[in-house]
Amino acid sequence: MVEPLVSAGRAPVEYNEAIVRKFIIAAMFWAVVAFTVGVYLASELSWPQLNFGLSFLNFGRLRPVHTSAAIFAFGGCALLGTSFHVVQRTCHARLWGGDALANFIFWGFQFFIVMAALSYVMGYSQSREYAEPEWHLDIWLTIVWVLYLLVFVGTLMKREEPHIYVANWFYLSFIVTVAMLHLVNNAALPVHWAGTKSYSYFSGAQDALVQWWYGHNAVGFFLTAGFLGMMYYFIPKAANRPIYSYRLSIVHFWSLIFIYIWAGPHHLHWTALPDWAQTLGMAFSIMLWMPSWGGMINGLMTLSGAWDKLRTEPSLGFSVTAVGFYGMSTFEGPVMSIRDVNALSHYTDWGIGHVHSGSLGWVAFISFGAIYYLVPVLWHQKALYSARLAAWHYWIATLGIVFYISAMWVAGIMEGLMWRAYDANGFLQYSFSESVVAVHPFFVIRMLGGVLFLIGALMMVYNLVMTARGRFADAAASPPRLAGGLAPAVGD
Amino acid sequence: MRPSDWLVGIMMAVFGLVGLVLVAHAYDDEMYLFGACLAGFALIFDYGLVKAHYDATDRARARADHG
Amino acid sequence: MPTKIEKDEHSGTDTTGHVWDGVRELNTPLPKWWVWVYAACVVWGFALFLLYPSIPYGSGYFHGLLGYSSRVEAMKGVAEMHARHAADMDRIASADFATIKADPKLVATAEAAGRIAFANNCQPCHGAGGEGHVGYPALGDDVWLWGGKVEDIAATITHGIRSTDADARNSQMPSFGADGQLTAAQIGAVADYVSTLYGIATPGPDVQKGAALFADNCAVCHGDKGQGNREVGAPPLAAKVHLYGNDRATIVAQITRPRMGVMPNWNTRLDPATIKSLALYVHALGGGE
Repeated sequence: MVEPLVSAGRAPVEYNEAIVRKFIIAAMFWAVVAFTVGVYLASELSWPQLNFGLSFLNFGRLRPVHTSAAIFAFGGCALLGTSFHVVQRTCHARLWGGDALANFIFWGFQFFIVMAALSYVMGYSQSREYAEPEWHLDIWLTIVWVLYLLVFVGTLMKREEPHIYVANWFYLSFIVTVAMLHLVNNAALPVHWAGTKSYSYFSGAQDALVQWWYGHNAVGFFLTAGFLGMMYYFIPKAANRPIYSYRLSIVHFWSLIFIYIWAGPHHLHWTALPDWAQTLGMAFSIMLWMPSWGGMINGLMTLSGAWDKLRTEPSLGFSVTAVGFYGMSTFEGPVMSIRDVNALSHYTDWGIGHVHSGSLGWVAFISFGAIYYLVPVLWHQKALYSARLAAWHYWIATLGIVFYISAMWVAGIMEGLMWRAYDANGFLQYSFSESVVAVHPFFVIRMLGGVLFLIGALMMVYNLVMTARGRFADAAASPPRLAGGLAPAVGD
Repeated sequence: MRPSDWLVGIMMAVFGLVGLVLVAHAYDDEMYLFGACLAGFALIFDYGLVKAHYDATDRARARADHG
Repeated sequence: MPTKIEKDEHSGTDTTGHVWDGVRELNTPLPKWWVWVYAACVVWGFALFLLYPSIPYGSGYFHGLLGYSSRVEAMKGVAEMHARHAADMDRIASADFATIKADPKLVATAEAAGRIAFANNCQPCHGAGGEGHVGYPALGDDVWLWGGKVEDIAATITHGIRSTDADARNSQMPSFGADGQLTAAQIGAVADYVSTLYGIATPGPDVQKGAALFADNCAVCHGDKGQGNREVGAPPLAAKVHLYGNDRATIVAQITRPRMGVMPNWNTRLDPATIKSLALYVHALGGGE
């Protein structure tokens, strides 16, 4: 598909849009899978008999299916897809390396996801959180990831723009750091060269530290830096406004990637990890607050002068709310990393609530915003099938998040208080099982929040399918949309 | 066909062979499944490459015919 | 690519002059409040380095000006709670049960210690109120396998049943069916007879044969009237409450290839005072003798 001339005096570039379309379809597919499994797991936590005594429905086997589907399958496909879109557009260059290579990255990544999910339900796991796949799958992902890095860097190298756009810095830091995290955390020796089982290179407290160095930076570079890259392209595009501050983007980018990498030990407060490492983790987490908020400021302030666009551009509501949730959870994170707050919050459902305000509120919403914007662009339609339906999705999903995280706050703080309560004789006031009984109603509310979020995602799928097929439900109601690649650039 | 397509195609063929070797020596069910799926994936992917090549050739010829 | 710096109409700020796919950037300075809060957080972070254990070097680490240790901090809290009951628990550990029961203060402490120890250790198998589950004895009724006196209960908790403890309560029922000592028909007959002991099954035709087989094979442990024997933990079969169920199929299965439960010895995990408190708590659940 030949793009209309965007910049005067330059030859049009035939972008590889097919690969972006594939990733967007996959992202939506995996979103529905991840949310469905999440709802099922939330139900199992409320009513454990739902595992029906079947090994593959067991919470322990399904949980990594949910987390991997949400983070790596849904989040990963959204990141890979949008990064391929953004890097082509902002470099004014077709993807480096040819279509076969791009297709290999797509299908190789899907192959990894499916094989990892199958291995979990078959009972194979290396028991490293967010890195459950065994060594052979890790090697496969490494191959796919290195080729992804090559294609991304190759495209940057052949760019026709003199500078590299900020979104690409974030995408690049995400790709490079995830590669490093993946290689170190998964250092393991297989028992047999054609066998699944392996043993980690690390042991004891070092192993715990490596796992949380990985786990925390998976949050930092996969779920934060990557999606900030997404934000830095799609918010200014959808709002048709310049980025608020170039200087802020530079300062907060370098601050973020320098500080984030040290904060992992805050996951191991009050454990066998030496105190000095705990202090370092806590101090760097506190210093991380403003670098994280730099992204929020740039996202929100970019909209100044364009707030009215929220009414006409369905994707922007998601993007802006995502930035709001991002600001909230990047404040909550440093607070929870303070050792004495952590004494209350650690091991409770507060942690689960924190993760989901980040994953549902930030990661999913920023992706929804990008995808609502992208689908009409990629399928060459003038507007979304229904902006009203997208608005319904927005409100239902937001309500779902509010249900989810407020239920988890209450449950988590209640657990923390119950676990530390002593009676007059100096004996524990509550047993663990009493705290489980106490949080049951909130577990049910959490499940209902998840159901709302899932319903919203299904409405989105319907909306996108109809858009791609060229239907318009409320063409009269919504003004014709001129955005994305179809818009003439202002200025230049 | 571009050289990069050839490279990817050969790489996938090698992965397919690796898959077959893993199936032959599999130490457990999961590795057996992985090897089999890898071989199948490689086969389908390379078939897709060949098909894409001929589809493109056909399209080019049709375009030439209709001038 | 020529760059052109423009003035943004809305904010009045200059752009940087770069354009990517129509996206431009403003050259807005860093927000002042952002810089100051960032600086404050960095100061806070470095203050933490100074006050707490932080910078590692070679074989050690900088211990910080406060001499803080999370382990010491946590143990302080534990010691504080321990102090609230230490005197009472020491007396519970050394006194016999009669002395403890005579002292209301010790009874109250033992009650509190026993309740939480039960909820955190025993409840998963025996149920929140000691109601039991299939294979896990109910503790609130008067059917006891190894004895219902408080001393018996304490001994069971201390050494466990079929555990690895040297003084564990130990016994084994033969596999009459699996080892071929009785035929399937004979086992059925015994099961019919056993059912009559608590009078819920309609007596089958083989009851007389079963009674004879019972006397020859089972009575030695379970007693001639099925009253059980606590010396060897042989369950009282005449009681309606059976560990694995009192229906015919369960009894047949039990004679054929008996299941025998294991209870851990808690002397390696709980201190003597807590075990005695637990024994008193279980004794008071309703079935204590």
